[in-house]
Amino acid sequence: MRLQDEDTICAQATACGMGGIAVLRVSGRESLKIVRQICPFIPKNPKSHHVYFGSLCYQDQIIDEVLIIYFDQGRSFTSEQVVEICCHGSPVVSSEILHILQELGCRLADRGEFTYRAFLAGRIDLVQAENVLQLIEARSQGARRQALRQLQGEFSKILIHLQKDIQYMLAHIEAEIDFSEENLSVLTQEKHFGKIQKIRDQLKEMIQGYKQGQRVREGLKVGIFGPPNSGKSTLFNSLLKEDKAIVSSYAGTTRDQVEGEKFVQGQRICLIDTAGLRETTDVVEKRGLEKTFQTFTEADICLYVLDALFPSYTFLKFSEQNLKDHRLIFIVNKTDLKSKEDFLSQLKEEQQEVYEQLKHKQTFYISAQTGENVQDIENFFHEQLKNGETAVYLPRHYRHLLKALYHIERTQKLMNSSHEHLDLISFELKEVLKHIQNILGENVNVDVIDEIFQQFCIGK
Amino acid sequence: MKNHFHIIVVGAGHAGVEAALACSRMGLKVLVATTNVSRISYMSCNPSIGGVAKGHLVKEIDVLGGIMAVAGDRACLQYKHLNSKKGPAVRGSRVQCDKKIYSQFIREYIFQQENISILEEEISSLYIHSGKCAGVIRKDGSVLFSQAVILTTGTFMSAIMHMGCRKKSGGRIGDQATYGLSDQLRKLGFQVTRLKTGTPPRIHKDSVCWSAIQVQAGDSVYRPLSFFSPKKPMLPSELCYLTYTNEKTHQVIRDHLDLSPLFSGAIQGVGPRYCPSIEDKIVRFPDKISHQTFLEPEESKGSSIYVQGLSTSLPAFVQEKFLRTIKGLEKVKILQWGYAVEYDFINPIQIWPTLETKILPKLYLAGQINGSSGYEEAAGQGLMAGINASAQILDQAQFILPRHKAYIGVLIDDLVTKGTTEPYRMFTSRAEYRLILREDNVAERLFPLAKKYDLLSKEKVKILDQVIEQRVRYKNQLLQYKWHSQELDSILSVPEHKLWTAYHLLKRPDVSYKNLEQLGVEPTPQEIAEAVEIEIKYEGYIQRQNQIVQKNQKMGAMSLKNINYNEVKGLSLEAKEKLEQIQPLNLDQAGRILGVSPSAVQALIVHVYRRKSQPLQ
Repeated sequence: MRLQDEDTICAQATACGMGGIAVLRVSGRESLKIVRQICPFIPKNPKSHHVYFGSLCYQDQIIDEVLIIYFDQGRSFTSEQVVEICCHGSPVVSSEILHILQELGCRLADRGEFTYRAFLAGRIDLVQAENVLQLIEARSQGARRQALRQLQGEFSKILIHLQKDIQYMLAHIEAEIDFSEENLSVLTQEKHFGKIQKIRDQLKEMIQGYKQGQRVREGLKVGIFGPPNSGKSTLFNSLLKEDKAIVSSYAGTTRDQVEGEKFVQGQRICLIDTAGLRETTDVVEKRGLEKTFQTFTEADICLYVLDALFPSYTFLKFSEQNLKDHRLIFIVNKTDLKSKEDFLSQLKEEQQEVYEQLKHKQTFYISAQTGENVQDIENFFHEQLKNGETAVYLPRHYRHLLKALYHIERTQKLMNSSHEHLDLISFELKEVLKHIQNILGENVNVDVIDEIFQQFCIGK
Repeated sequence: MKNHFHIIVVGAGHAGVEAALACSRMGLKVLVATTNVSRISYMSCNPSIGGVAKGHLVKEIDVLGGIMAVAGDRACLQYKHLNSKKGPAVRGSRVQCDKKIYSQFIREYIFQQENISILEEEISSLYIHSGKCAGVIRKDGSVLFSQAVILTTGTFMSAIMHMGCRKKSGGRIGDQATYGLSDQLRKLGFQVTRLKTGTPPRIHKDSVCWSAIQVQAGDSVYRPLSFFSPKKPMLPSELCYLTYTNEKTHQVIRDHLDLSPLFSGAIQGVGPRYCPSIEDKIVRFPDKISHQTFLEPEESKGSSIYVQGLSTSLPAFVQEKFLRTIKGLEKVKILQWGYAVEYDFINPIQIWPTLETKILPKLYLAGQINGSSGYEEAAGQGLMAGINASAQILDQAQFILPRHKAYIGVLIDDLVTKGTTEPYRMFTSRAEYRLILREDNVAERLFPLAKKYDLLSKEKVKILDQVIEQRVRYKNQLLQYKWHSQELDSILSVPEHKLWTAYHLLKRPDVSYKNLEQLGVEPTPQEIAEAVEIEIKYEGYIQRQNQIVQKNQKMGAMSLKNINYNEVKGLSLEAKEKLEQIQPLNLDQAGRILGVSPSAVQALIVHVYRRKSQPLQ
């Protein structure tokens, strides 16, 4: 629910994804003041509808070279003071700048908010206005569903759980306040404290997760692993559609890593071909292996290439833990030389355990040589990128997580102090709850009273 | 008796009395009609005034000119500052009262008022003229005329008392029910339904074995409820006691549940969840092996003891049987049996925030008739109904307390915006701006409004002016005292800091105003120093809540008067219905209606803006 508030808002005005340039729009009273902090080249009294060129810097680092277009209040789309930043069209750059803008005090605009402001300022007519209204209406009706869809998986489960925990604690605190003489068996201070600590840890973990998700959006890092001569480099070249890595029929041809870049639907994928995994005494090769394991820990997706011809010569140096890693995808290569069925039956005989593992993992049967089914892997990358885009890790979520963490830490501090402030503790906890519910897309409506009556026997 | 008045108040309980006195203070001629003059301001249930959240209400009533706080102080037998260790915002003052002195004090006061007349008679019908409430009709058919009527019928409209299988007409032991009014209201289109409440037995002082049970003494520090009361209690203090029910008690009750009207289906009305009968508690919480029972004196010189926690409508013989299983009550003699009352109330969404009804102009409702419960809740509404009815007659602005200014505001807004399905009691958790709605800042919150609406006598204004002035002076003074860290070493341990002012020292959780006195700050009366200390300590939080208030005030400034909700695009059917029914005054209130979603509020915003940009020709 909002009126025309005084927040200065920002958002990307052009479509997301790769493009030549991206336009970021900043609207509101503070827009010039905020943008000038990162674009000091803007003159003291910029002219409306004029373009300025310079470097966008933050904390002594040049982020990008940009064009700035300034609009006076009353002469822009929203009728507010507006600054538009034209930067290079990589999602990495634009999302970085949006982050900086938020750190400097902007709020990320809600969907349709620029139009909404334009309407409130009388800049657009009735028909347009009604379209906006429908948009808002549709949005808020779908918001909860949409939010939940976005939040599939662990993330939303954790949040719903946190929400319940906090509501439960609040019920106890409020009962302790409003029914102080009822001698209720409310949670002890220690129990509260344990729960708070748990919530704090979980929030921290999620914030960490955001940073990882951020990496996903900045480009998917895909490592190719496997025993020597299983055809890793052939697959690498096939995916890149160029002969970047040297291939030969000799095991151990690739001793150092080779990296290559590829774009799927405008988004970047960084492919890394690694040295084959085998016992070795060679110093150079040993170094290469260390690097391989390093890459394995860093990659977003690990393609493990198996040689269909030698099923048993496969998992040297790879621990069981690594095999269970959720990022691990099996590629069974050289299906042009041996059929899937033959491979599986041989594997079952020779490596029962691995065979079981394989059944539970996503596996692609390909021939890197002929290019058979390689497209399936590409499609898989695309799926992953799409998930990364819509999942958890929107900047909006991150913002609320940070705030929730801030308030949970304050709660903790209050509980730690020897002075009892249930009124303040309750206030801080409600703030935490508000931010969590904001992510979940729920209306903030804490009927603690109902919860109290369900839990306690109260009454004079 | 002359038959023309400015205002007629029907009922003389806690709501009726405050309403009548408010009108009288505003210079209007008032008639109070009651069925029993000896029961004016009678405390029908528990012998205490105030409590958590209720203390807030009483103090607000005090600053707005009401009498409840003064009367509570006058009759005080024991004072307690509840939640004193749980944070200043949730502290609540409560006094145990001598019931007789309490109502006697108010009765005498109201009889002294020249412009208040008292009529001892049942009123069973309103006089309606050209669509407005214009008086009441007496039993003999004659009309008493007025420019407004305030109904404060309490539990008396079509009331039925239950004890076991016995049903009896009546709103309270010793008092008749009243008939006619609710039928007339129903015919006018009011939604009249039933609520239920109950009261525990009263027992004889001399039949209790006091030595066997726990003593509950009051606080050693006394803080009067009212700014205008003497600083010392006027009656000698009394003790309360605490005992517990046990497995035997519960067994007796379980064995006779079929005799309880609550479980036999005889009672249709919904009772309050926070004030369940003992049979309710035992059924709903079977695991609890014992319940607290406070024994509280009802009068300092009388013999009646109130058994708090054991409200019941079981038959008399069961009451006696289970009471006698309780420690200290083995030989108990019962003076009055517990019972339940069912009564009519009006769905409060049918009244405006001024407490005037939407259906019948010039008719105001206050107290239990609106679905509330409790003396303090009733008094607060009575006061506001009185002020608003008078303001309308005097052609003054209406007086609506916002939620961020007073618990009374929260109470009335909740009732008229959300309605209620159980007797509504005030809790601090109902107030979203709890941190700025404290007992200690009640003068700062409401005195400016009381002055603006001219609700206080000159003497009262003078006293409150002084209080405010003293606080401001003390606060400013705290900035003048300065010390170097070394100078403080011997008395306080504080971190190294260039220069400490008394003000900044007080921000620390471990420093109190008493420490400052040790450092040489001029001593100030406790009530002044405490209030200032809280304000300084909570400064950051107060600012944060004030920011939220400011944001919401913008919504409050957008009027929804004369809106045809059929013209608003994008409203769901449910939202439309609710909005038409409740007719919120502004967007802020609209947003609190159950069934009005945030998207509906967006739609309203757009509609209002559109209307604004296309002024009517």
